Amino acid sequence: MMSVSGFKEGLKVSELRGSLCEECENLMLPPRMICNRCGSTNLKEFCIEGKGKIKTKTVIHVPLTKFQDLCPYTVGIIELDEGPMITGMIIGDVKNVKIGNKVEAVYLDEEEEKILAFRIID
Amino acid sequence: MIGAGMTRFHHKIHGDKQSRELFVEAALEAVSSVDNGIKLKDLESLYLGYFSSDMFEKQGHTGALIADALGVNPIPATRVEAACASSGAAVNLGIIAIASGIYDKVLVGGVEKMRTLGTGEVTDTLAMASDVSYEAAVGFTFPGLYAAMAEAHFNRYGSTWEQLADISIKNHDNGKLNDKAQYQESILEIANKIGERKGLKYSDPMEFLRSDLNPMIADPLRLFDCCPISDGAAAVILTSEETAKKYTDTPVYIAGIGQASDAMALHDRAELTSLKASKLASKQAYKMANIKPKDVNVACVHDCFTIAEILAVEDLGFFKPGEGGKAASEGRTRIDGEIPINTDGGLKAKGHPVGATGAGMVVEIFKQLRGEADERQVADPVYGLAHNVGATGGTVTMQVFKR
Repeated sequence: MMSVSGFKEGLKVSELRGSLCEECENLMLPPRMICNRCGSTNLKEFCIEGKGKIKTKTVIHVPLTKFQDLCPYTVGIIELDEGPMITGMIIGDVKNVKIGNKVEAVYLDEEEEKILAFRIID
Repeated sequence: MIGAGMTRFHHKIHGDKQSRELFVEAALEAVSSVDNGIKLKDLESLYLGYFSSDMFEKQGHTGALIADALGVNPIPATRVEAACASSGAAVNLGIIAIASGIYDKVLVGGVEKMRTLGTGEVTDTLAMASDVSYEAAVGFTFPGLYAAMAEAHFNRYGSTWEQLADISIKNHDNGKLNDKAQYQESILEIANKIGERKGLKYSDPMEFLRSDLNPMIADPLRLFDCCPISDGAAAVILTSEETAKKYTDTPVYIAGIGQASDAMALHDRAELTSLKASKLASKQAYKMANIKPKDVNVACVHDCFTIAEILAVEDLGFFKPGEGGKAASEGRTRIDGEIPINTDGGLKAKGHPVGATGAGMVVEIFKQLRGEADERQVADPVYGLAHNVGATGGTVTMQVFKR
């Protein structure tokens, strides 16, 4: 399986695709071609449910030009229930967002591709 | 190290000057700093750090371009790209080239011409040093990634934004003493200059830093937590130890080097409150130099954002994890403190022409160890170090120098 392209294909169908190492059972998200723990290439696709909690976050006030219309917006790093962490936009009650808040993955439409985001659920 | 020179780092004064003009200026100053004289033509190889000539100047192949401008053809000329650690990596390659025995006299350095683009496009270009497919793709900016590390550090250790502000104040105080710095004014002086236009007067820099005149960039990082956009170049002349003595009675010796890489995306790292590559690169360099962190008398560390200086002083072993911010607030990292950090003003006040920064730090350590740092001179330093971080720590380079 390809790594970045496989991940982006997954986002299009609202799936968080990672890879599981058949040798050492390391779970990786985004997916990889080589296990970053044992070096094995014997990996299989593994879908992650998309629930987790906020590990860290920030509110962007000076945006990338592509995101100008959304500014200010919240982004962060999410620790998923299965273990791996992933980067995403954070939506919902962002005014009161805190590290540790529970979130679930949502897939936002943005022109041709989907943007990975997480909605605050508590 | 027998010579070192740099342009002033600045956002305006270089106007339409191109990278080749900036680097020639820095290289000529490095040549003129060699006590017994040297010619550019005597140098045998060039390693040049330049992050993004492609985006900033719409020009590739900048190693050869700049060798041509220096008139040093046909020597080998190699551009090195490691984001903000481009010239730190170039310095290390020059050192390794001499240690290999293939070359004896090498020119290393870096340059960045950034003010060809507006702030929005510069933000986009710098975000290219993150993992674009996963980080910039969801809207993370480069300041945003450091802001996320700051949040994690605050959450884990209880460090505060006031500690970040103290670092910014300290680095501006140091920049005031450096005629090559972009900002040679204290934050209080800048506050009153900006305040004057609005009929405001400040007696405490914190009052200004807490105000709307210091806008939020990426929470909790405000404008004065971020290094500026700058044009500039820095150049250093390296030779073997025996050759150095022909050129000067006071060379600066390279005691140790280190370099490490790490996962590009923050989400792939076990810790968000330190840079693993900083820990590893510093360990290698200390081991090669056979010293401990407490033996270091002056250090230039990578403060692209104020939080980065906290991470650096902890990762390099000057302070325990979680205590870097407190140390700054207590004045322990000031020029007269126990470990002077960023005597040249750091990236915050000296400026951050991305590809020139690592070499610019080396220029400062060269001056400090030769007692040539004027008003900002640290008392009698023996060991100095330069610590250069690429983006969020995907690359870190280190050099330990001895007088």
